[in-house]
Amino acid sequence: MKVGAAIVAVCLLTACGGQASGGGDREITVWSMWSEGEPNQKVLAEAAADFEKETGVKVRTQWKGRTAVKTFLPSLNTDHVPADLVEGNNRELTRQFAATKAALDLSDVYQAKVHGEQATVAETVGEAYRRMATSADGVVTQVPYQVSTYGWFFNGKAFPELVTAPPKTWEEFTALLEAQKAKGRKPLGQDGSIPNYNARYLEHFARAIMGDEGWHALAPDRTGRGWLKPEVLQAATMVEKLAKGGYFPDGFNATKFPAMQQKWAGGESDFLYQGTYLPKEVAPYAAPGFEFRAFRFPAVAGKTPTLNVTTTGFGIPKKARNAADAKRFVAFFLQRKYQEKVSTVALEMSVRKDVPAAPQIADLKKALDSGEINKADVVDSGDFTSKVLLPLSDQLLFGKISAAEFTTRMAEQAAAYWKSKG
Amino acid sequence: MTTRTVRRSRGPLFLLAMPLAWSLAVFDLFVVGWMALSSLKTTREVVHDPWGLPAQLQWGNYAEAWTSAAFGEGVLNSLLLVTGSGLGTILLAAPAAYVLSRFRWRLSGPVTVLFAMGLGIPGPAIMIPIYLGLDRMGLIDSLTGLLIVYIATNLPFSVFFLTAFFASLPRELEEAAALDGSGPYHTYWRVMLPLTRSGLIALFILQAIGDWGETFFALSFLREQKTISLTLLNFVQTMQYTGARWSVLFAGICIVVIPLLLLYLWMSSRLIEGIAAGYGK
Amino acid sequence: MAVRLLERTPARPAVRREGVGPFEAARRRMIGPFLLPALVCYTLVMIVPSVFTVWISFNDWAGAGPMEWAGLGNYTEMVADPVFGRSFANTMKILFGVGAAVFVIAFVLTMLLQDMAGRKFVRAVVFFPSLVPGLVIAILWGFLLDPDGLATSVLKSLGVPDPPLWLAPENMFTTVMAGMTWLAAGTYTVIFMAAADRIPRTFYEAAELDGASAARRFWHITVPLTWDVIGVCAVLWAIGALKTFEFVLVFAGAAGSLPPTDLWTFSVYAYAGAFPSDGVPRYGIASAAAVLTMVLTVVLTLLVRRVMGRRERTDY
Repeated sequence: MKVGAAIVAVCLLTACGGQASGGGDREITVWSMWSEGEPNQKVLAEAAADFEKETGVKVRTQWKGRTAVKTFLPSLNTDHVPADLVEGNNRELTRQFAATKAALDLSDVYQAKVHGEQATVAETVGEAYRRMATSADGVVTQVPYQVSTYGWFFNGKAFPELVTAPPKTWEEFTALLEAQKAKGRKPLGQDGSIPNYNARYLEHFARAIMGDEGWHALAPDRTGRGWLKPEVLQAATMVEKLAKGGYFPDGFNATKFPAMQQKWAGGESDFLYQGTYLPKEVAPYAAPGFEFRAFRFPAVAGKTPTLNVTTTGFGIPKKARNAADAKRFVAFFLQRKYQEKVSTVALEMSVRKDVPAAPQIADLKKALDSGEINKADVVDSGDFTSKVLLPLSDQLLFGKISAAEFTTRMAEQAAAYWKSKG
Repeated sequence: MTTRTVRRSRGPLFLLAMPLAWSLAVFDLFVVGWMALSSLKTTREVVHDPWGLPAQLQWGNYAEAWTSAAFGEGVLNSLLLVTGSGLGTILLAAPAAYVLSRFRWRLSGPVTVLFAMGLGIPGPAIMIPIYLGLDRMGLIDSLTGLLIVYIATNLPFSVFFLTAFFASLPRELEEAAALDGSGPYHTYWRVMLPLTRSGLIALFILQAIGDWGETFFALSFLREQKTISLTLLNFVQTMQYTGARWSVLFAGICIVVIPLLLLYLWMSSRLIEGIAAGYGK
Repeated sequence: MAVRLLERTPARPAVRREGVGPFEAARRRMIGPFLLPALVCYTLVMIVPSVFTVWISFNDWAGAGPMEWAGLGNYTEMVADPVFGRSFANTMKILFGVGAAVFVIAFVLTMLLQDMAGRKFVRAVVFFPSLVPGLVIAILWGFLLDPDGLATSVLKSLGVPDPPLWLAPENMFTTVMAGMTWLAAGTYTVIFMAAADRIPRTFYEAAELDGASAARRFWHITVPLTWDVIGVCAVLWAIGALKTFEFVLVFAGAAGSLPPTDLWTFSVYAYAGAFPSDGVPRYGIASAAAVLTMVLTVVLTLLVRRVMGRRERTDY
C-alpha cells in the first residue's frame, strides 16, 4: 500500500512540475479500445503526441483494450467521468453508450473542418458511416475513422487467376468449389463453433435475394410469419446445399476457435469468409509464401449483397471535462497523415476514400467507397439473433435440419420470442 | 502412517480405484508440464506439433512476455492485494465464524444464512452499486478500494467454510480451557484458532488463488493501476488481435501461474506440518 | 494439550446445558466485537448493492441513465423465454450431475490417499488444475480434443475406429461437464483431506486393529467426523454450480461473442443480459436472473443444512 502511495505522490509531483513549466492546464483523457503493442495503438499514440505538440493540450491515453466502452459505462452514473473521449465500434457507441443518454451529440464535429484540410469531417467520413454513427433516437454519438468488412479470403499464390478475376456469381463460386472438391480438397474453411460466423451465409443469401430492408424486417416481425416467405426458404435452401455439398472439412464444428482459421491459413482449405482483420490474426500460422487476397461475396440470384460494415471511432460523454479539445482531437486524427498509417501500419481500412487499403483488401475498400453498404443494419436485434436465429442457423448449416424445417421453426420460435416480451 | 499398515488394509475396491488416482495425477501433471513446455517452444511448434518437444528451448519467450506485457507493476500490486485480502479476510471471518458456530444464540442461524446468501450474489450484478459507493469515497482506481471489495466478497465463502471447521471441534476443549481459568478471548486465540490452522491455511490458499486471478472487479474499479491478471488479460488481447504467438502467451501465463504454484506447494507442506504439530505426532 | 485431545472423544454431548454462568455471559459479550466487523463490511459491500439489484430487476435500465419501471415484466419475460428454460436445465445438470461425479471422485480420492504411498505428491498434484487459468485449460482442450488432436489419435491407435467428436455441438455440453468435474474434483479432494487430517490417527489405528477395511474406516470414521465440512462443501458446490459461468464462456465463446445458447447456464443468461456483444445492455433482466440466483442460493443452503444438519442440531 505504501509503495502505491509513493507512486501516486511521485506522479502528482511530476504532474505539478509539468504544469508549472508548460503554463497551460488543458488536457484530455482518451480511453482507447486498443491494447498496448497493437499496431493501431501505435498510430493513435503518435497522433496524440503530435496533437500535444501542436496544440499544447496534454493527451492522456489509457489503453483499455476491447472492453473500453463496457468498463466506461458505470462511471456515467457518477460525477467523475474518467475520459473525454472513449473509443469503440459503432454498435457499442450508438447502442450501449447512447442508451445511457449520457452521450454528447457530435453533429457539430461533423460540421468542423478536418485539422489542416479543406473538407469537413462530414465530407471526409461520408454519409453512410455517419448514419451508422447515429443512435436509434437520432443522436450522433460516434465519429468513425476506421472500417472493417468481410471478404472471401484465399491464397493469391495458390489461385493467381482469382486475384484479377474473382468469381462474380455464386454459381461461378460453386463451380470453383466443385473443382477443388474434385481434387480431393475440402475447400471451405469455417470455425463452426462460432454461431455468428455460421449465420453469415444465410444472411448474405437472404439479403441478396430479398434486399437489406427485407431481411432486416424479419427479426422485428412479432408474428414471425415473415420467416415463411419464399425468399427466406430460397436462401435457406442455398445454405442447405452448402451444408450437404461436402465443402467444409470434417469436424469443422468440432474444434475450438480459432483452430479452423489457422488450419485454413496452413493450407488445409482454400476459402474463408472472414473480417478484413483476418490476415493480422492468422499471419503467424500461414503457410510459407502465403499471399492474402480477398474478394467480395459473389452475386446471388443476380444481385450482389451489400457489405456489412463495422466502424471504429470516438464518442464523447456529456459530462466530459474538456469536450472542446476532445472534439478537436477527433478532427485532428482524421487527417490524411494518420489515416494513411491506419492503412499502412495497422493494416486496416480508413473511412477516407482518398486513403487506399492494403492490396489484399483493396477490392473490398473500393466497394465500400462506392457506397455498397448494408444500410438497414442499424436496427438492434442482438437479443433475438442470439436466442432464436443463431441456434437454428447452426442446425441448418450443420445439416441437422432442412431448409423447410428451418423456416417453419423460425416462424414458430420468433412468435414465441415476441410473445415472451409481452 | 507406516507401510506396514498400508499393506494390510488394501481391499479390492482400493486396488480398483488406485489407477484412477494415479491417472488423474498424471493427467494434471501433464497439463502443467504441457503449459510449461509450450512456453519454451516457438509458436509454429505449439500449433503444428503441440505434443512434441521443442527443438531448442526458447527462453527468450519469457523475456519477451515480461517486457511486452510490463508485468512488473502488476506483480507488486497483486502481491499486496493477495496478502492483504487473505489476511484481512481471515481476520474478519474467523471470529465471525467462531461465534456463529460455537455460540448458541437466537440469530446465529439467520446470520449464517445471510452470509451464505452472499455466495449466491453474482459479482456482475452488484458491480454498479459498488462502483457508485467507491466513487463516493474516492476509492476508484485505488488498491485500497479493490482490497475492501475483495475482502467483502471473500467473506461469505470464508465465514461459511470456517464455520464448519469450528463446528467440528469438540466442545470439551472450550470447557477444559474455561476450567483452566482462561477467558473466552484467550480460549479463542490460544485453543480454538490454532486448531483450525489447516482450515485457515487452506482458506488463505483458496482466496489467494481467487484474488490473484480476479479480473472482473479489477477491470471495473481500476484505471491506471494494474494487477497481474489485468496485465495478463491485456497481453492476451494484444496477442489475439495481432496473431497469437502462443509460445509467448504461454510464457506470460507461466509468469502468472508459477508463483501460485510455489505458494501452493509451500503452503501445503506447512499445512501438513501444522496438522502434525496440532496432534503431536 | 495434544495428549489430552487424543484421549477425548470428539463426539459431542447431545444435550446442551442451560443457564448462563459468568463464563457464558463473557462469551455472550464476545458476539458483538467478533461478529460486527465482518457483518458490517459484508453488508455494505454486498447486501446493500443486492437490494439495489432487486430494485433494478423491476426496471428497464441500460446500466446508466434513465430507469423505466417495468414491474414484474423482466420476471415474466424470463420465465417465458425458452432460452432461459434451457439455461436452467443446463444449470441443474451441472448442479446434480457434475456434483455427484465430483463428490464421488473426491470421496474415493480422499479414502485412497489416506493410505496411499505418495499421498503428499498426489494431493499436491490434483490441486494443480485450479491454479491454471481457465484460458490455458480452454486452449489445451482445444488442442487435445480437436478432431486431429491427441485424444483422437490415442484412441485411434488403441483401435477405436470412430472416436467421438468431443467438441461437436451435440457433445459439447457433456465435454464441458467433464471439464468441470475434472477441475472441481481436485479442489474438493484437498478440502476433504484437510478435514480428514484433523481426525486423530488413534481412531484409525483402533479400527485397523479391529480389522476394518479402508472403505469401512472411511464410512465409519472419516465421513461422520468430517460431516460438517462435507455439508459446507455441498453448499459451496451447489452455489458454485448456480453461478457457473466463466468456464462456459472461456471454453465455448470467442472474442466478444457469446457461446451457443445450448451451452448457456443461468449465469451466462444473466451475463448476456448485462453485457450483450452488440445490443443495448438490459440490466433489468440480468438483475432478475441474479435475484433468482440469490433466492435459489438461500433455498439450497437451507435445504442442505436441513439434510446435513442432523449432527449439527445435536450440538449444544
